[in-house]
Amino acid sequence: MRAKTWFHQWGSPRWFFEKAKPVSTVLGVLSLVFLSLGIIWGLAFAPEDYQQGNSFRIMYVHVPSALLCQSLYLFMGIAGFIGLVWRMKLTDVAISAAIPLGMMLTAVALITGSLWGRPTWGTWWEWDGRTVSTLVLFFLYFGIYALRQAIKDSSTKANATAIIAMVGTLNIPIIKYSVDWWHTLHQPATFTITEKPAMPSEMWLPLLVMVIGFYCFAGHNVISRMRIEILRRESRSAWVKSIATSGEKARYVF
Amino acid sequence: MLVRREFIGISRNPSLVINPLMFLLIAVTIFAITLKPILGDMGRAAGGLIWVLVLLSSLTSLDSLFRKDYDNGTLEQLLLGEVNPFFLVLMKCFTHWCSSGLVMVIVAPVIAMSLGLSQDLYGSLVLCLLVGTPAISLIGLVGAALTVALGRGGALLSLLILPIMFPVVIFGGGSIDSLVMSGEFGGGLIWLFATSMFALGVAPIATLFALRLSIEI
Amino acid sequence: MSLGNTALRDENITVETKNLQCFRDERCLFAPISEEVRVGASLEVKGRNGSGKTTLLRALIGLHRQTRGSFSISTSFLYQGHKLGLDESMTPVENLVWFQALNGRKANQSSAFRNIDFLGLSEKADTPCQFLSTGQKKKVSIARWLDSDKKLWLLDEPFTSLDSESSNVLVSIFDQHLVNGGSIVYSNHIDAVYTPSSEVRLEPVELEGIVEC
Repeated sequence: MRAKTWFHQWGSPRWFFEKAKPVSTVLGVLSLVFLSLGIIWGLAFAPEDYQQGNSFRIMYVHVPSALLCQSLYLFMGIAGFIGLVWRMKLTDVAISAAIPLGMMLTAVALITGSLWGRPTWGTWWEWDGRTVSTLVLFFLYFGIYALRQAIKDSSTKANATAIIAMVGTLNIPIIKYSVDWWHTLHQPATFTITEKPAMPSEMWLPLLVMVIGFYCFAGHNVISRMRIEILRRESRSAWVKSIATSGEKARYVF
Repeated sequence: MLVRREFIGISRNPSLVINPLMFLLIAVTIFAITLKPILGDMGRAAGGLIWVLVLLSSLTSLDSLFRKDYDNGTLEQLLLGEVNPFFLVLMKCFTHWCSSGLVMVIVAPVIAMSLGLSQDLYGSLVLCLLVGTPAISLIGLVGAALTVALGRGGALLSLLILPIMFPVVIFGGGSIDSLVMSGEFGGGLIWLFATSMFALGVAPIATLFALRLSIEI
Repeated sequence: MSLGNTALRDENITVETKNLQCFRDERCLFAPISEEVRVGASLEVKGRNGSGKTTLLRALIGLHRQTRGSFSISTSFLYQGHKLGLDESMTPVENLVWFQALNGRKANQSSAFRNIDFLGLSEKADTPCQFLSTGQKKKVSIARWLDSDKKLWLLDEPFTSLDSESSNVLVSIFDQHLVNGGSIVYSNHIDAVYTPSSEVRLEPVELEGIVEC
């Protein structure tokens, strides 16, 4: 009985709007803390890398964004699945909230990866499993975005997005594997390019801090976007109207 | 009669088959003309190139897969009828494959010759295409179903499914490449087959779902 | 056996709606409809252009999901939409045979030809439909219903594009279907062509407050 009520509550936009606000605020504060800590620690205090000098520090932005953009897509795929099977409208709100952040992070990952590659391995770009699958991820994000732009009807938009999100989620590991396989045919040596040598704890601790900070930020950002989207979608309902007219706007929407 | 109708559609509108084929041949020619002087022996590049061209010319025929039926109302009649919907989807996929993948398999030796692939590899190339082109038709089916009701769905269709077609091209091109280098497929053919099988499992359901969405628009 | 969100109350009712409304993106199209169609009866859906007649018919068969209220229809139905559902590159006879196959019946060329003939199109029977006029295509779509065993017919503007002679043929087809124990729900905006058992007019409505479907 309890589980069922909890599940149904998740389907209610208003419940989410109210309950998620403290979560979002907490995550926002945490992300600020972790990110500032991580940036200062990573950029200023972590020891210089023996091989790469200072340029490795871009890893502190590159690795978290790469991890996160993949996680966000997985999140969208799962949300899509839940939305299709259990017909929850909130999942579509979640997906639409994740898309902008996901696209930006993928772009950041690609650009920072390229910037890291140049001084380190002498090349702006290398076609291996990870780079190709990240690039394809960017295309997939863009595809979902374009699909949503093209469909006007909201329920069709939600269902179509869910299908493409799920198919795309299945695709990413396949692509990564396929490019890695292709490489085993040709250049086994280049595999070491993407291998990271063992890092001392002074280096990977700030990385961990940054990763946590990024994830907290993603949580905060997605939840905030979801709350705004909920306000937009339910704009004709009584509870939203009372928020809009009560003059307490600033308190409700951070 | 249901299957017959699909083939009637093709036989009375032969441009559905001829146009993508022409596109393929023209594209091959352009590549052969421009790249041969630069690359010399194109044998190595031929593998990936053939697959990319097969993929791109299949795209030109995918958009019209469901569009005619959607526009004249036969799509909704098909879905409202008493025929098993999976059969319908597979039938559509099969006719698309016959009009694109199969045709390209047949034309493959000609393409291979113009791109400088050595002759004893033609049989293996045909096998490779035979195994991989169904995946292109299947995956394309999902995209076509999703975009059929949208005004100018064609470009969106390519945008949506090209990323998902990557494994097919990579495994396919890699197989040919491995074939050229070492005389055997290097596992690529198996993976290509696996991709086709995986598509066979996932695509029909996704297509049906997408079709239901599209007719409600 | 019924479709919709409730079950049919008894055998003699083929369509039932209770406070049914259709929405398009949270905009309500018409005031609640509560109707009942019995075996041997017909219902005409009237309304201005854009009042939601097509949407109502599509909602009844499940092709439009944003609804409020309850409805149920018999599962054995035949739907003719705004788009005729004819394959333009095939001839009328081929279209009819295809339609038979679609509904699980064996291909019967002679019956198809007979139906085409009944609608007065026998000399066009072997011309691909793309070369027929709008009215002729409409008649081909009507010919399809003649050997259908479906009890309920849901037709979107069946009388549009027909000349007066063909309208009379359609009226006789309707009468015959009702006599055979079928029922018809159709939309129409041409006056005084057929007298249905009952009528419903779709009126627009303004809604206050929350709209949830």
